[in-house]
Amino acid sequence: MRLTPACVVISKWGQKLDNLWAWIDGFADGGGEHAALFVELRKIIGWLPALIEASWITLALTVTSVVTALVFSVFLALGKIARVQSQRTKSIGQLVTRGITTAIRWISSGYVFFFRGTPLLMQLFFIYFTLPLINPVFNIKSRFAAAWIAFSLNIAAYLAEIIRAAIQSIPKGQLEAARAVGLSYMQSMRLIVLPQAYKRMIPPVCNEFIMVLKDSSLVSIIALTDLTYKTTMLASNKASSLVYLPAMAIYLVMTAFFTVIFNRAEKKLGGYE
Amino acid sequence: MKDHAKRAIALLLAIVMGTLLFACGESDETNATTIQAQDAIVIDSPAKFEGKKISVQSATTASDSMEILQANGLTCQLFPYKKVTQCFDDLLLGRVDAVYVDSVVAGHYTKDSSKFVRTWISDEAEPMGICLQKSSDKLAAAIEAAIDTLNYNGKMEEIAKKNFGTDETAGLRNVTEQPVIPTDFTTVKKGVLAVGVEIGYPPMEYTTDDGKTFIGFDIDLANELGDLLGLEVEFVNTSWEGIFAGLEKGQYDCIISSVSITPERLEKYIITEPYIANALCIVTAA
Repeated sequence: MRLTPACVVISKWGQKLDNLWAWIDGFADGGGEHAALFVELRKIIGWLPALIEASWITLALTVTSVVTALVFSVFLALGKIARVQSQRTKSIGQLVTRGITTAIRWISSGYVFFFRGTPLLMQLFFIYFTLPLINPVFNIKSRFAAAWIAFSLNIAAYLAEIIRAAIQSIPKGQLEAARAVGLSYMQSMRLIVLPQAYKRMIPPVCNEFIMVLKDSSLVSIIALTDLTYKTTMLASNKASSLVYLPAMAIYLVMTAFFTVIFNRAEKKLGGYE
Repeated sequence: MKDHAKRAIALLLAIVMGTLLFACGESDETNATTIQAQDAIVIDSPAKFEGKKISVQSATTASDSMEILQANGLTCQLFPYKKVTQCFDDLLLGRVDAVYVDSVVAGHYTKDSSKFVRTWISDEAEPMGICLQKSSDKLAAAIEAAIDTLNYNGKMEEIAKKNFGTDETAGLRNVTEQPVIPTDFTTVKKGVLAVGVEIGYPPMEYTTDDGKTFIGFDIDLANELGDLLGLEVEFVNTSWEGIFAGLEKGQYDCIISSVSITPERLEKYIITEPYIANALCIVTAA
């Protein structure tokens, strides 16, 4: 294979783009039958750089917060299903273990109850505006960090339920058999149950991911310019609602990309079942 | 777990960490410099926005002005909020260095306040008018005459003093004889003057502490106009970004919501002669 230097490729593409521009210009200024259409097309292409720049915020926020939430939510899910088998003999140690387990379960359930039960918009507002007013220690200077924290906390609650459902869909016998051959609880979860649960998690996690991609437009209330905010700003500034067209196309491209990735992952992990 | 899966997860985590460092780090960097510079530089002109964090309300004349400044080579971090009140919240919490805002609002925040101070006001006056659709020229004429009447009988000065403490409307209109208000206008709803407002812009249009009653200079003005025109006033609370689109759709007869008179707006809508003086200004923390 012959290697072409990057700069040559870029200049070639640049030339092609210039040709395309000239072509569109020719139609737009030519005054032909569809000239108005090409004038609009030229406008849309002019907005693209600003929209793509704004969609980086959307993308970065979605990916970082979903990944953070995934890690956190595994512990939440395990916390929610933690139980101690009832035993006749009750030594002090057993009572303490039972107490701790119950506390973990209650805390996890309470967390999910709170973060699923209040609007994400308000959680975002609370973290960015209310907490710093209560105590300056919580003053998060970076808008992105505030959004990331709020989104991660919120998504974790939803993902925890997805993961719990996936774990509990694995037949009980699997865990019992693993314990019977002498694996500890954590070992049997890590080696037997979770690998099987992965595949079942992927479709709902993909679902959640796409929801977050679109919900991320809420960050406009803390002045973070994501794709939706940029679009409405352009629409009101330039007084043209046409800008929603390329913005929707960008959202579709992003969702399509991640749908393909999740589909691939589902096929790959399918080998376990 | 297979090795390549572990590698993929490690890579993903690394990407996330990288993004976070990149995305969250931006403001922390500038933070260090602003703390050093705070004592030295007072932001007393838009030229000093360079490298600072500035908040504005989006889709306002302040944000348009910012856009022009940025197009001319100014680099600063822009915080475009949907509500002007949030701009001041952020200034109070020290997350932005200055707010770029209409002087009528700045007056409300800096008056009797030890927290905010106005450091600059533009020479270019940007007075406010009432905005209507091009097609409602007859209603515009009636409103124009009604505002003149309010100036003539001193009501305007009265409501200005009530809301600002000073007469911000002085000198804008010199009405020497009682105007005649035409009656041949039509409204969207018969007998009702529907007014588009963006509540949350003190002291022009906001609510009492219980959040139920609309108050402010524009609200008082609209009620006086309704009395003079013999119409019942109905307020339609809209977000600022969608307020002009709502007028075009015919959701209300006019916008009485601190609309600065600009050439772009005059091209598309009718705006009455100025009823209150205003200019862009800069507010910083004291």
